[in-house]
Amino acid sequence: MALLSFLDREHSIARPDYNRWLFPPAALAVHMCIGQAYGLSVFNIPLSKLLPVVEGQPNDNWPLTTTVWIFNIAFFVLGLSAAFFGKWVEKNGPRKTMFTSACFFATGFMISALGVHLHNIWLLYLGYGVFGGIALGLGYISPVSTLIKWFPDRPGMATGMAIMGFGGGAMIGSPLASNLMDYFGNKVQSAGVVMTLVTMGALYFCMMMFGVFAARVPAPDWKPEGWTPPAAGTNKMMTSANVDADTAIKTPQFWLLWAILCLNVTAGIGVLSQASPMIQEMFSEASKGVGKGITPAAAAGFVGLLSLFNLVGRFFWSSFSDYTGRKVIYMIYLGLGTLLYALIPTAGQMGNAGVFVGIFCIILSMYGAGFATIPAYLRDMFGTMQVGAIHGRLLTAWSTAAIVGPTLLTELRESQIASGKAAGLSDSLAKASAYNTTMYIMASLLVVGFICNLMVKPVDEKFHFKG
Amino acid sequence: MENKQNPSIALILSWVMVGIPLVWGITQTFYKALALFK
Repeated sequence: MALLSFLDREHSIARPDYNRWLFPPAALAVHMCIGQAYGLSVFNIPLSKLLPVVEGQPNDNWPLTTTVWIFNIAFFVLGLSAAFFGKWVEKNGPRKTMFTSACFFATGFMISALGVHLHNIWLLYLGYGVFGGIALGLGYISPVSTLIKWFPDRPGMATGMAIMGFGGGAMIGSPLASNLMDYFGNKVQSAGVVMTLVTMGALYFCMMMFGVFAARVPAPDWKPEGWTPPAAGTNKMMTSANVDADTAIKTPQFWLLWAILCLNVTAGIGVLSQASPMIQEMFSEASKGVGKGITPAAAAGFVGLLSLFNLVGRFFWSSFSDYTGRKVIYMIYLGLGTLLYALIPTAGQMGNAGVFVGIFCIILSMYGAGFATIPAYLRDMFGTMQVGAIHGRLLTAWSTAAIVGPTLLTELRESQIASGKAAGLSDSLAKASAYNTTMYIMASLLVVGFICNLMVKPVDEKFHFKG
Repeated sequence: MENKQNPSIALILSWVMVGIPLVWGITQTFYKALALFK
């Protein structure tokens, strides 16, 4: 066990000559790996074709409704593990947490590979769902608190950089998995998926271990060169006090931020999960004319473009929040977001795909930014002492939204199509207009979020940690 | 305790280590996104 003592917080305190810009790559390495979860859908089709289909015999392959639960379980467990292990993360520091996350993530891939080999879906639920989910939760919050301590002068930029990595994870994970499945699976499809999962588990473990070795925590009295902490009371929306995690969840500020994150993510994730069919149905040839419709390839390009804006927005807007303050930036995310969601039906009716795409790009940039800026907002409200643990508990809002968002959008779409057909619209026109009401509902969710943000005030002194 | 801000090989290597896969992933997505404008 002495061998593993280098993982302890006390053994990872930086020497005076450590450059603080070495920590963001360590954080990025972990977030880029666990962000692969966003690209899990690349396995959907291969997992549904593992067994040969013989005519006249039952097809025992897994349908999408079965495999989608791997993703759902992983994100549900992410929220739980971030909430339950937050204080453990604060106590043990980023290095031990990253190491634990790497072990769980790699083990999750290996168990999943075994599940594919044996064609046992429960092993995939256990592997990627439970083990992977724990890794996601631990890995996601592992660098947050330390980043804020290394960059007290620019906390928004620092956390934006790491959480940008999570957005980039899918961009790496999806093409990597596709290429590996092509490479390994040219003869037997299941062997291709098994070897892809094993290889990815090994590669991600190595990358995360880079983060483990590079991670350092600042000494307690460390501060950036030339920076002096703002005097207490100069900015009421940025506390110099601390609130511990157990007390933080008793404050209205925590639940207001929980609601803001949940509503922002519900709106964004709902759109992101339906982006491809939505643009094809709103700009179909039947509704816009022959040759003017959006093709499936162009729709895939639209999804890719949204992912890029989701990534860039995390860094851009979160860095910008260091200058505007967190309350103002969330007023922009939620206020401008409301306006843009409300404009989507008009853009669709105008038939201007460029305006439509542009609106969605800005919306998705602010969706990603909502994730990236929230740790800095928590730091402003509750101080740095247990910001990682508080962030972990707040991530239950994400798990909630990950289930509510896509379900809400799908249900609304189905009911709108049904009422459109009942009103005498053709199938394609009913589909094209189905999203209009949905967009107004998404806009109203952001209005509620905007009001919650307006209600955020500094935490009452009675909650401050007295030590 | 102050922080030394001089660039070092370790710093460059660290950023290259995470930069290469990130740029590769972004490039792949960018090419996919180009289909929208064809």
